Amino acid sequence: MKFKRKNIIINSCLTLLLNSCLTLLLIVLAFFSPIFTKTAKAESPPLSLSVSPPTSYLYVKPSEAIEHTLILRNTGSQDLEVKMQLTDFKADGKTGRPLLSSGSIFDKLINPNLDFGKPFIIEAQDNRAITLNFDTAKLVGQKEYPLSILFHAKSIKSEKNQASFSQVSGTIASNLIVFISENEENQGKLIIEQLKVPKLIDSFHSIKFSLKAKNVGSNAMPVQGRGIVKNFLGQTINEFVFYPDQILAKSSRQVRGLELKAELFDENQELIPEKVEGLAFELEHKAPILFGLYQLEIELDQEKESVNVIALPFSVLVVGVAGIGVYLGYKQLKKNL
Amino acid sequence: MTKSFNLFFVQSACKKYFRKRKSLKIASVLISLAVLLLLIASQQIIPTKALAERLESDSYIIQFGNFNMGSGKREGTSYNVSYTLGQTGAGPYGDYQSTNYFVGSGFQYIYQIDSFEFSISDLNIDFSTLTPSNLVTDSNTLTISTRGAGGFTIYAYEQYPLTHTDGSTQIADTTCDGGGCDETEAKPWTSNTIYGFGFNAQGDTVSSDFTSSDPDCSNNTECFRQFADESNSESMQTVMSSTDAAQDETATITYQLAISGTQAAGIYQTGIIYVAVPGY
Repeated sequence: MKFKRKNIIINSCLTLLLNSCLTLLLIVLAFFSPIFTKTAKAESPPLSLSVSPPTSYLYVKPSEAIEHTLILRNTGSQDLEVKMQLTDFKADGKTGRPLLSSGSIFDKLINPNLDFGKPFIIEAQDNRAITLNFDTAKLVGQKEYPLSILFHAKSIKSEKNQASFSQVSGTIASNLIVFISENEENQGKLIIEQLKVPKLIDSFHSIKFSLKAKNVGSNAMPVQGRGIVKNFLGQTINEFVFYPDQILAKSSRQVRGLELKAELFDENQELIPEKVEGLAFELEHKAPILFGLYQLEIELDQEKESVNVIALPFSVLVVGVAGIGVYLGYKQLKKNL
Repeated sequence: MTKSFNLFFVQSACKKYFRKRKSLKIASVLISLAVLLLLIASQQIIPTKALAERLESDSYIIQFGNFNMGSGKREGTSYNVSYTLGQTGAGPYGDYQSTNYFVGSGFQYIYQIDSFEFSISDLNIDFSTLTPSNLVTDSNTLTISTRGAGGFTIYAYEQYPLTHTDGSTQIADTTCDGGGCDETEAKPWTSNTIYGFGFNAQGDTVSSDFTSSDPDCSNNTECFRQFADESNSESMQTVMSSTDAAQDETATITYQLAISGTQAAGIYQTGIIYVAVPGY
C-alpha cells in the first residue's frame, strides 16, 4: 500500500516535470518558428535602405583608374528592385547640402561589370557590395568632381498590386567627391568670405558673430579655426572652436562652432565627440555686463582677421535720458500748475 | 479731509527724512557707483577661472591647421566627430588601400564605416473609393538616420499627376484654398470644393512652409503642397532637411485628394518618389 502510494507520487512528479519541459520546449519552438519571424519582419518597413559610406572622397591621378565600393543594405521587409544613377551635385553655399543637378560625368565610363541602366534585385534583409570603376582618362580638367550615386528602389510586391494603388518608391544617395590632380598635396585654401559682428553693442547684450568661409583652393578641406574674444588688456576671455565641416573646392559654407570648454577634451587632449553639443552658426559671447573695448579675433586656416567691438550701456543711458526727460517734464508741469 | 491730511503728513515726514539723510543718500549713491565700477573692472580684468585654465593648457591651444584630435572615429548622441579632422599634417590626403587610391586624411574616410539609412513605412497610397466633394486622405512615414554631422535632405516628386488608367484623364495637383500653393510652398487646404491632389508633411525637420504661421498652418495637417511634377520638368523639392546628425528622424506625410462630380470614374495612379541625400 505504502509502496503504491510512493509510486503514484513519483509518477505525478514525473508527469508534472515532463509537462513543464514540453511546455517550455513549445514556447522555445514557437519563439523561433516562422510565424514569429514573419511578425518581426512585418514590423520593419517595406522599404528600408542603408548605404555605406554616405560620403567618400577619392583622390586620383589623371588617366588612372579607381575603384569605389559601396555597400547597399535592404533592411526592409520586401524585396526591392534597384536602379543606379550617377548625378553631379553642387554645394548650396551655406551648408553641406548637396544640390543635385541632372548632368552626369562618369555615366559611360563607370562600372563595366554592372550595367548602370539595368535594375537588380536585392532581397529583404540582404545586402550587396557594389564596386564602381572610374576611368578618368577622358576627363579634361584636373579638378574636383562632386557626384551623388543614387539608388532608386521600388518594391516588387507593390508593383504587382499597383492596379489599385499609387506606388511610393525611395531613392537613397551616397556622395562621392573625386579630385583629379597630379599633385597629391592638399590644395585647399580657406578664406573668410563674410564675418558678421556688430561693432557697437549694448553692455547688457552679448557679442554675437557668424562666419562664412570660402574654399578658394582646388580640393575640399575641413574648416580649421577658432574665434577668440579678448578684453581691452588683450586677455582672452572666451574662445570658440570651429567645427571641422568640409568645404568643397570653389564653394562657401557657413561655419559652425561651439564654445571651447575644457570638458570637451579628454586627458589626451582629444576632443570627446559625445560632448560636442550645441553647434551653432551664430556664436555668442555672453557676460552679465560688457563694457569698453573688445576684440574678436578670427583664425581660419592661414587667415586672421580681428574686429573691435565697443560695448557701452546704451540702455542705461536711454533710461537715464528718459528719466531726466520725465523729471524735467514733471518739473515743468508742476511749475506751470 | 482725512485723506489730504494723511497725504500732507506723509509728504512732510518724507521731506524731513530725506533732509536728515541727505548726506547718507549721497554716500550710498557713491558706494553704488563704486560697486558698479568695480564689477565692470573685474569683468574686464579678471578672466573667469575656466578661461584661465584654458590659457594655461598648451595642448589644445591650436596652432592652426593643427587641430589635433587624434585619429579614429567616435560617435556621440548628437554629433559624430572624426578624429582625423584637421589633424596635424599638410593636407587632407593620405594613402588608402592602394597607391593610386587616396582618401582624404581629415576627410571622409571615417564615413566609410558609417551608413546612411532611409525607410518608408507604406509604399501604397490608397484612397479607397472616392466620392465627389470629399477630402480623402492616406498617410505614411519617412524615417532617416545619418551618423555624420553633415545632416541630410529628403526631396519629393511625382512622376506625373494622378492619371486614369485610360492614360489621358488626370486629376490636377491642388492649388489649395486661396489658390496659391504650388510645389514649393504649402498653403491651407481645407475646402472640399477645391479639387486636386496634394500632400502635407509633419515632423521636426520638415520644410518650414508646412508649419509656418503666415499663412496659418498651425493646424497640423492643414497646409498642403503639390508634388513637383517630373513629367512637367519641375525640380524635386525638399520635404525634410537638417544640417545636424539625425537618429530615426521621422516625418508623417499625409496625401489628400478631392474630386469633382464630373471627374471620370476609374482608377487613378501616379508614382511618388522620395530621394534621401546625405550632407557632406
